[in-house]
Amino acid sequence: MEAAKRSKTLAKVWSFRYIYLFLVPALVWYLIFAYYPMYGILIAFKDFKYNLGILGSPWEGFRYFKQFLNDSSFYEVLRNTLSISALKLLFGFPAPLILALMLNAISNGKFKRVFQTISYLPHFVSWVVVVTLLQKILSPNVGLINDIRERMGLEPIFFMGDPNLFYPLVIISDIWKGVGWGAIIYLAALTNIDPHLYEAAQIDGAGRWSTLFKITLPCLTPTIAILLIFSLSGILNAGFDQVYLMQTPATLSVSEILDTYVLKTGIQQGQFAYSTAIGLFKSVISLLLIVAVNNISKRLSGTSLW
Amino acid sequence: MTLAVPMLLTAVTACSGNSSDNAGGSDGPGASGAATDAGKPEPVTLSFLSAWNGGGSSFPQDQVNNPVAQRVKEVTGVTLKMESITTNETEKLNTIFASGTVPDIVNAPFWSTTGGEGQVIKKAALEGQLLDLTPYLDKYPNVKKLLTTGVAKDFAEFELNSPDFQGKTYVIPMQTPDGTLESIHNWNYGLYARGDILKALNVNPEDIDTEEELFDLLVKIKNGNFKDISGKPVIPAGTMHDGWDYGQFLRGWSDYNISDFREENGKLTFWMFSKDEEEKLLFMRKIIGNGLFDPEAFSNTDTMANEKLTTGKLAVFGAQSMLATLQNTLYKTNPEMQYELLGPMKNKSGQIATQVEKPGRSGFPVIFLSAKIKNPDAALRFLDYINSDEGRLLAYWGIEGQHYQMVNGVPKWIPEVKQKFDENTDLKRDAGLNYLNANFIGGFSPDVAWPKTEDEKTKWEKLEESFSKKMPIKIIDKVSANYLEREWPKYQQYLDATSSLNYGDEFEKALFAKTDEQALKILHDIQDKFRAAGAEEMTEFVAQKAAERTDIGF
Amino acid sequence: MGVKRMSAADRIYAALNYAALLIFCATALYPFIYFLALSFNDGYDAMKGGIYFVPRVYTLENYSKAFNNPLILNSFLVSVARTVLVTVLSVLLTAMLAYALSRKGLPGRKYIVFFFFFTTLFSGGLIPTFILYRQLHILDTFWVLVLPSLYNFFNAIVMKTFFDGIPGSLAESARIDGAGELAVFSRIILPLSMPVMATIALFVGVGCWNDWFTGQFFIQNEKLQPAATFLNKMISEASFQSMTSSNSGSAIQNMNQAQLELRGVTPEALRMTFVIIITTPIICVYPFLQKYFVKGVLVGSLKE
Repeated sequence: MEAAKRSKTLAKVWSFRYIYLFLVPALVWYLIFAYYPMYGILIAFKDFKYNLGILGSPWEGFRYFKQFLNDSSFYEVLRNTLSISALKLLFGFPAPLILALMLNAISNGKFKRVFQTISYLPHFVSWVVVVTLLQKILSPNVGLINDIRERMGLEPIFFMGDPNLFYPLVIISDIWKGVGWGAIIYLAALTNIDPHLYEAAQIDGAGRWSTLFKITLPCLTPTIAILLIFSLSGILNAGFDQVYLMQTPATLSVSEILDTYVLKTGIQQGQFAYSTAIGLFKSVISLLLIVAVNNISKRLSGTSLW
Repeated sequence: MTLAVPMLLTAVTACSGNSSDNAGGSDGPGASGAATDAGKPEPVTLSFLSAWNGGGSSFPQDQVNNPVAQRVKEVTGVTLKMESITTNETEKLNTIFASGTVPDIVNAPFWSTTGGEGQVIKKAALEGQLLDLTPYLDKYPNVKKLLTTGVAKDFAEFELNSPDFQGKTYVIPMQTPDGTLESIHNWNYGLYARGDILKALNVNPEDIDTEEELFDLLVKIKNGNFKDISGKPVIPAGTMHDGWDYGQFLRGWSDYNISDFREENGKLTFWMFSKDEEEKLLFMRKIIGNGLFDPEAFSNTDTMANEKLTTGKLAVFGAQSMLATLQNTLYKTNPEMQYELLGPMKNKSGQIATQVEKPGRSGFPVIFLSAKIKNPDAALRFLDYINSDEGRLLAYWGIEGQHYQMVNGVPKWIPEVKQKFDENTDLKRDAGLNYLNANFIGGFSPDVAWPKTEDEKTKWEKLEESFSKKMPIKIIDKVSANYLEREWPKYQQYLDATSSLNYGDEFEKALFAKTDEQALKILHDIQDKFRAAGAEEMTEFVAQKAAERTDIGF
Repeated sequence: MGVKRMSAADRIYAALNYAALLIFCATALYPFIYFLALSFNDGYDAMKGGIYFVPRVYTLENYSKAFNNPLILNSFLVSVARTVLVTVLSVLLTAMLAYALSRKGLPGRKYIVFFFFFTTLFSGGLIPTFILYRQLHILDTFWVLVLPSLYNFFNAIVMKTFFDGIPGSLAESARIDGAGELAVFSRIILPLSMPVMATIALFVGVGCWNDWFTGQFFIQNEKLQPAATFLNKMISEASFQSMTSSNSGSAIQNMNQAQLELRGVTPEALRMTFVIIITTPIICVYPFLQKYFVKGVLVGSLKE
């Protein structure tokens, strides 16, 4: 019995041999450039000595992990990080899709192209510049919005110093910056939908909303599922550059995230090993999350990574 | 600025690559460097890294064929292949040490050995990445002098010559002053107020020297309806980027201290637990709460700070005099707004609050050599030459007759040359007149060695001097008690426990708390955390140890 | 295409759509107008703020500072060479990978996908990577700009998702006619996937073009550094103040202040110039890619 099964598998493998050939360059590349350097993760467990290298240095175990898990601020920081990530997923994830649908609804090709090109320009602006601009607009001293408020006789508000406004500002600026670029994938996916389906729907008298929900979205589901899974791999990142620049002392209780916290505190203990440990922690959490979501997605939509 | 072609022929022997080039030179401390030969020293190419983010700004565009580099090669045989970085310094240092790719000569920050780059460098030295310079020092007297000139005694005792090094020398201090008292640079920290506003309020800047008077002044300014250059209302008080330096508004609670410890009521206390901190907190809250202080100050970016500064938006700011920026902007368009120094403010003991310095620098750039360098003598004779009188003239002034002339024993720019350099500073850089003094010189103060005559000084330099005269530096020639912390057995534990605590951030958080009670609670919380880590025990230990020496200062 | 009757509701929706997009695009476009204005403005005057749409004190100094350096043309050549080479190679290699992964029934597919996916989460970090490049002898060479950028698993998955959407019957009928995998791949799958190829080409190309870190960290030779690295270096060096601290030698302070003082080119205006210089080529190239986002590529290919 076993032999028969084995030879069946071997036969199958043989029939796919050219496909495996297609995979060979990728396998080689990943082994060299991705897997070989992975021993660097060990630095999170070691007392790294330059002359001994990462592999030869003495083992420290979970010292760094214990350190930050025992840190009194750890849970507050983790909570902030997750809050921002969750909000970004909730509001930021659908935004590029919505933009793509809006752009797609424009019949005039020229306008569509112009709008699309402009929409992704913010992607190229670094966070330093975006936050500077944001600060200029919201500044209690010289900002545009407070200018208008003053003319109306209102007192200026220090927006960026308000902990209640921090998350909305972070989400909105993140959406503004990324929505155009993110929409590109969806736009490409939309062109893949067979126009015959739309024609048939129109003939059947379907309105715009049922077309959207019965044809467009189902066709886009694989794309959406995959992009969602990938977003989860960054769940504990929450956008270091952006948050670091937007923090003010008054908002630190909600704006201190894992990465900004590590930057400020890892200095003593050989920042290197410490930040690698945090990175490892983040990766493991992301992995667990993704495995879970992948399984759910498989059951619900049939699409999954593996 | 290219020189004669014949010079290039010798450059041919200098090829690419790192420390591998060693055209016949010998290694080992006993070998005589070619400097003793009557003929030309043998040409060597050495790799150099300026481990400073942006440090490449001093490099000439052509590193080999500029007049200064050519002269260096003539005298020492050394050609430098220079590189720098535009990323984090610590990251770069870690990478070169961990991968064993340390360039021959490296210039890097060395502020302290308990953190940051200094810690990484110390670790590298102890783990065999740096060359032990001790056997070479007697051969190169100018380099040896650098180890002590202009270096604070306590920094030397505890950091530079830390017991961990076991008497070996690994780093050479750079950018240190020449050891004279006049060489210590006065940064003119203080409170600066707009001259026209003071005039309008009929206030004499020297009359404001306490925090109460400051508060009253700020209130008057707020009610005075003053405007910046675009006609928008001024902010009574503010700072430059990231809240630097709001401490200037709190000088009334400072004293002449060189350590983290205070002698209060005959006992030694840790600065953080002093009652002063509460008073400082409440005063800042008062001026912020009354709309007298820019709430945005703590999150100012450089851009915003510059904008506020150059439009005269801040009636009073706490920082340095900021003349470099102001003279090209605000002072050109609105000279009446020229800022005056307030006070100087009085400190806790009723004396003028001013810069406190030890007679020497604590923390500076350093140069170290790779343990794998093939020709250490070449590197050291290069450094020895640059730090000689002749070398310094070359580094700062260039070639005699081409760039400068000696006038009464003091070098002066040849006028056409100076004019060209003033019009285009890149020319000065490309002539090679920036990179040597930026990276390889120590124990020296150009302002002292070559003082400017009165008529050579610009109006702004004189203004700076007038500020400095009002706030002479207080020199305390003692060993800072901070260093005694390291002898405490529980010191590493303390560092571990406090590494994630950030007093500055908590203090700033407290400034914006809704009520004074909440603010004080935040303050007390962070103080308690430090207490729990052992700060008070540490203080007791330090007090004990300090009593054993006569040269400890607080 | 059928008769299109625009009802009142249709018109309202269309108008709202246009309006929303217009507002959004105005906010997206404005920063670049601001950058353009600043980049043509004198650095010191720019410090005062208040510039919104047009330069107040017009100058070409910021651009001349960037373009006067003889290395800049070189750096652009390096960038173009790198971007073109990497884009072409990466798109092809990634497509091959994606195609292999999209083939249903491939034995061990789950494990293979996980093998690749794992690397998107876990990485050894900077130091082992540096050591690896050194061992491969690609440090300080053009290849360090190319080889490490060839694969990105995210792109592979996006492509795979698209390939999955191509009706299997097309490939099947080709195979029945005796076509091998290579033929199916190149003659059927690729031509039908132009939109996703263009998308990935855009992602890879832009990523390469904007990457300043690789050229900074792994290359010392100035002639091999790409434009992004070069421009970033200019900005860092112009704002270099690090060596100065509370008690430093005045030489450095004066040297850099002097530089800033007399040139009037300060970091902010310079930074804006950098953004303009680096982004303009991308905006110029994109329209050429847009034509690949053509609707209805499948029309006529299926005869059901």
